[in-house]
Amino acid sequence: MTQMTVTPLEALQKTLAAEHAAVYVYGVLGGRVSASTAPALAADLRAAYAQHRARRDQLTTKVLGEGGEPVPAEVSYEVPTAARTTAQHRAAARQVEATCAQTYAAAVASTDRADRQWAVTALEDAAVRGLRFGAAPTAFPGAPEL
Amino acid sequence: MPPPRVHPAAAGSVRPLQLSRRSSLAALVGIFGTVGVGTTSCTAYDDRPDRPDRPGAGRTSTPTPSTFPEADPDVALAASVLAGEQDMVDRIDAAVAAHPALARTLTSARAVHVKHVELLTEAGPVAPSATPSPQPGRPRRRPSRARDRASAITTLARHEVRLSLVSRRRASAAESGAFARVLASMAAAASQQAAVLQTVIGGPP
Repeated sequence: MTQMTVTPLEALQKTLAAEHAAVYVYGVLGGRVSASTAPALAADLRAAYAQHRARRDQLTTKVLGEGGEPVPAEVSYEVPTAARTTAQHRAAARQVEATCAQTYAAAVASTDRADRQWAVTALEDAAVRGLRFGAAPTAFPGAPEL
Repeated sequence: MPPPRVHPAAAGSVRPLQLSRRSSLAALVGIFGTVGVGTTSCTAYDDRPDRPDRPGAGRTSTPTPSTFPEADPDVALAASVLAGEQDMVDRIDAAVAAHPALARTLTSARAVHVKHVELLTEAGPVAPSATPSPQPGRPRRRPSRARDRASAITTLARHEVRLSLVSRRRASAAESGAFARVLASMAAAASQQAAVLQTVIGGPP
């Protein structure tokens, strides 16, 4: 499978689908972390939730602009970890950002101009945001095969 | 209550693309073809050969499409990107030479940019400089001070930020989507390193 077989609209839809999942997972995580007992983590999760919601809305607009019907969110999604301890919350958040980074990287390959710029920015944000949840820096964020 | 459904895009379950390193490299090699652009040294990402504050100032300029009229624009872009990545490696090496205590701190950053150089070299369009970059010549007479080390890290963090910005622009400009993806990933890596370095010196990530 190669990136170039994906049309720009398909890439935007795949990215929107990933954002739906990210918004759901961060919503779950945010509901399980106490702002009083883990204020820094709670703040980071809130910020991540807000960012992914904003991207979801931006992508919905982009898809509509391309003449597509925005892919809807599923009723629910599987959270990557049991998400009961702080370590599990952070691990789940890391996984969200890593998966989104790959999705953004794929969108970079399949879009151009403003949509590609959007995806480039989103990839950078996901890579840096992952660090806040304990991810280790890598040589090729979003492109683990390299 | 039934368990939540697994959505294919759910974080952690399935990677969006099933790519191998071989297929990604093949895509890059296919883009650059057999153009054997060899370059000596190139300017850093700001394309200014006369900057006195960077290692190797005064080296030859970056090859341009007009220099190689048959070259794909992405080949010239790759040469510029390679120069910027090599420059970052050189800067890190210079910082470690001046402040040996930073060697461990900068191991990750150096490894990242070396991998970038290796990938671009392996993909084939350009060769890294065969001439070792000149290092700061002043011998140290005393152990470096913490303040000097902090200043060196701050400077490197600034260069990582700049490299990321330039790489993001190049990702947007690349003709090839596959190459754009690689550039965007490199840009993200530089931003990660900037964030890491900033936390080392106590700043916000």
